[in-house]
Amino acid sequence: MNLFVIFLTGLTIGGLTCLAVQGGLLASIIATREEELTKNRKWHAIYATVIFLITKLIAYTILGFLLGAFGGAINIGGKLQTLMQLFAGIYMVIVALNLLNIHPIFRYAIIQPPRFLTRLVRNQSKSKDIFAPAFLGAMTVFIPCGTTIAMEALAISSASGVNGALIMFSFILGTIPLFFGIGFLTSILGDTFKTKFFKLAAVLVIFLGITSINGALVAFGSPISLNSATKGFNNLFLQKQSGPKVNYITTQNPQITITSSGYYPNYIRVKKDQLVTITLVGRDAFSCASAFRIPSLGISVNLQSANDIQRVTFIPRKTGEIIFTCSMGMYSGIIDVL
Amino acid sequence: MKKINLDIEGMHCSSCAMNIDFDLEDLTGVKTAKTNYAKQKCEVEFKEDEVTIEGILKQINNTGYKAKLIQ
Repeated sequence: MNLFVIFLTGLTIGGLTCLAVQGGLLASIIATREEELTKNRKWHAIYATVIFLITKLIAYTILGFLLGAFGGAINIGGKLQTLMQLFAGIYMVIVALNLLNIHPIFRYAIIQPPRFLTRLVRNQSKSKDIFAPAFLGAMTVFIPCGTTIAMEALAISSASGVNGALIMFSFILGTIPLFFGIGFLTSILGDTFKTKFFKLAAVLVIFLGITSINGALVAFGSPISLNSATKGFNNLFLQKQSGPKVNYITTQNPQITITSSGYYPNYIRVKKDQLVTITLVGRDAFSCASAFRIPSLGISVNLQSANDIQRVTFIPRKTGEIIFTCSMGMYSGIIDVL
Repeated sequence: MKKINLDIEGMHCSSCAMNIDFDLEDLTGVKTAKTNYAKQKCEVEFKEDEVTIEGILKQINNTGYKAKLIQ
């Protein structure tokens, strides 16, 4: 999971786009209550901002969990999830192209929240209740900006409550620093900086989008993906340096250890026309690596817990390379049939 | 009651449209404001004797966007 890139997206473009709207609402709620206070004004502003951000973080993490769990619930045979991941990736690229102002047509991809919801949020920002900043923070889930929607799509495509929650948590956590630096950023850096910052940050979203699309392609078993492109490149130019793979043993009963960061080993050798039994051993496998797929054979096995053990059996009928991957195509490996 | 259409510049997401709408509706005399992010246009309905077109344009400017009247 590219949680760090997601965090960076929040820190840059997510923070800016969220701030554009929510910063105003936050300022409004602070101002509403300040009128009634004679002292401790400064502390009130800090209190309101912190409470607002904490409830916002909690609300989005819960939303991420629900979206991820929803993605997992409608995951029939895994194909739908991969398809959703593909769409999430494409959507992210469109959001980024919109931010870069490439063409007005991309604006139509940005969903406008219904009026009754925005009005609800607006009314909350005028409330004098002591819990108002907390409610407002939670209500921001109803007014997501383009980048947030792209992240929500990613959370759905993760097809796991925990992963969805992690995605949204990392993203919203990233947006937090900008809320404290609002005055600084707008007054000192000015609009020209903002425009440049936007463009730089849009590149991050494109990167996330392409990673997502590529993962979907790998998971679909597509012959064209960034992985196959780099592999082709390696075969052409780097093979002499890497040398033949002499250290691998050929066995019909290989064991693959699954951790949160992938498969070990990620290259195994088996013989043709003989039964292969792969033992999948989970070692704290919390990521999507726990959803093991062999797209070309239609094999789909999920570890039931982070330290679960599962077996996969099949008989390879022809020689060549079979790709195995996680459900999102982020981690993959090769079964070489001899 | 008069209705005008405006071209809006500077919005980068649909929430900016929401900001404009609510700030306009806070203005005395403005009945409704409907901003469409995709089209970058805003439809404002207002009472001519309570608020001027200049006042409306100024309010959008204060919110942080540029507006131009479509004749």
